[in-house]
Amino acid sequence: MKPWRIVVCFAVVAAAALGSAFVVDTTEYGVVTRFGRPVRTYTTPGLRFRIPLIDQVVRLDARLLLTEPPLSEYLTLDKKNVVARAFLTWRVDEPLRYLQTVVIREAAEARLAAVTGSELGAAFGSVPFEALVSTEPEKMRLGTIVGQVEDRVRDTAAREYGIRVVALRLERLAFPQQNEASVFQRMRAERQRIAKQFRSEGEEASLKIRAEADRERARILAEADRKAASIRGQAEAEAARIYADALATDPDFYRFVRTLEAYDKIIDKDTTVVLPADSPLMKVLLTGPGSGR
Amino acid sequence: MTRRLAALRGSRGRAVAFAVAVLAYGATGIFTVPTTSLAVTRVFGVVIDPAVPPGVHWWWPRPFGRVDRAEVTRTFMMPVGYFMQDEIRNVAPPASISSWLTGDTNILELRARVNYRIAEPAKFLFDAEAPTEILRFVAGSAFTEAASALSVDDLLTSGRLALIERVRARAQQLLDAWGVGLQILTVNLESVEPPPTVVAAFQDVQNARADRERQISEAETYANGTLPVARGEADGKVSQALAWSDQRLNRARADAERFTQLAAEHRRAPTVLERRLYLETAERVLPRVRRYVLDPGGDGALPIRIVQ
Repeated sequence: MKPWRIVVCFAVVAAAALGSAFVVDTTEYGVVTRFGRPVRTYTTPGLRFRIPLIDQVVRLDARLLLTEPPLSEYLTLDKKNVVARAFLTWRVDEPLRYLQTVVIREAAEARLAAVTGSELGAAFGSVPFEALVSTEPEKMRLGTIVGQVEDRVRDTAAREYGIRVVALRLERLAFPQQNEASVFQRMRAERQRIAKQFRSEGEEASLKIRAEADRERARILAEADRKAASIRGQAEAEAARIYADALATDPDFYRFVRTLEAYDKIIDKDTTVVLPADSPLMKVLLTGPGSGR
Repeated sequence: MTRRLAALRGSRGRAVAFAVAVLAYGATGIFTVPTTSLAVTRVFGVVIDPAVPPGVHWWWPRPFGRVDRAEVTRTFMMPVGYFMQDEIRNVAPPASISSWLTGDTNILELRARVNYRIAEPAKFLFDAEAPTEILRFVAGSAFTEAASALSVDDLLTSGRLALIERVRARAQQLLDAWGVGLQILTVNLESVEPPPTVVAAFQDVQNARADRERQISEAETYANGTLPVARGEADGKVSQALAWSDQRLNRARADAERFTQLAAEHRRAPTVLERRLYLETAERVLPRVRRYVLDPGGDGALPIRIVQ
């Protein structure tokens, strides 16, 4: 064989090998199409082969993708406006169906957004506002509602686009801009009510504490008065006993002495005393010595 | 002969050149991994080693193999409720980013940062298109879920810890379930504030709370001042009564003593004592009164002026 033939053969083989071999990366799926018709799908990474020039390779992203439909406004069952921003994480699950139905990523995202929007609208429209936002756990069903929307979107996406929706969640829940003024008004009124309540509570507690202190004070003083009266009473009784004990020794003499003391007290300078001339006091003066007894 | 030699030399030269080329190509497969990182190696798109440790290594050069590195020891930060560039330019973030709806339908502005690290380089690099963006949305949704179940007062005061813990647990759970390869280290709540237009009303509630405490403490001060005074006053009353009764008893005893002595004297000489006492009393009493002495022989009629 002539050397140039060897070289040509080698070149042709090398070109064929290079043209037919391709790599499917771990981040992608490969679909081999022949004149536009899909013939093979590779969902695992590795070195693959095709017929050069005839087969084309279409690569699809196999990673977890994030889609955020735009912020939209919804109406709840009780006619309240809410704004919600959802997001989805998803993967291409069936590359062939995905290629056939949506072709490109932008189209897939647009359809997911549309499905999400309509499902959220339907779900929010069938529940009252307090099912979405509430401090009472038995009313609050946000998790379940979003879960139902997630299931429906997942079903639709899998059935129609070959997409596996991994998750759908609400990133944000808010009031529409035009409602904010009234919300702020309400918040302000609520705060004023709470402030007023605090102040009147303070007043009430203060009055109560003061009244209790006053009552306690009155009680302490009354108690002291009672104790004092009892002490005085005991002393009085004791004194009376002492007097009685002493005076019982000679009651007649006591009457005499006490009568004299009484004279001392009851007779003052406005009293007029009429003394008979034969009273013991005057008798001596008028009749002379010896008549005193 | 010379041609054969030249051909030999020529073929040897080509062989050496070929070997050098192969070696040079092979040498491009040498790579280093910094101490902060792990590397992931692939051959033909297949992950072979998901955790090549720091150091110098060799791997199949392109187009056969690829090497990617990820910083696993570094802590990254993801802002929630604001954007880093707004923070740097000192611009307030839009309300749709910063405000959250609470369970009692108030609006709160909330800023937090999520600190995270890359836990699994292979997952981080190849399993999701935008892992950190996903983290941002996951954290946002965790905050939304938690805030819409808590009241504004809880969020402003005691509920903060609960919020952080809920957000952290929820976000991590989602990240793990979706295989994003990130690990949340901490969630820091930087600020929770009412929107600027209503902040004064919230401040007034704080003031009112302080007013209440102040009124109560004033009343307690009053009570604490009043009661000891009352107790002192009560003690005073009791000791006054005790003093009075001491006095009373002493006087009684003195009186009794005096009488007992007088009575003893009286027993010895009754008439003398009685006369003396009588006269002493008369001496004391009569000087201060108007006196009339009536002659028993007279008719006993009193002068007119006594009736005046």
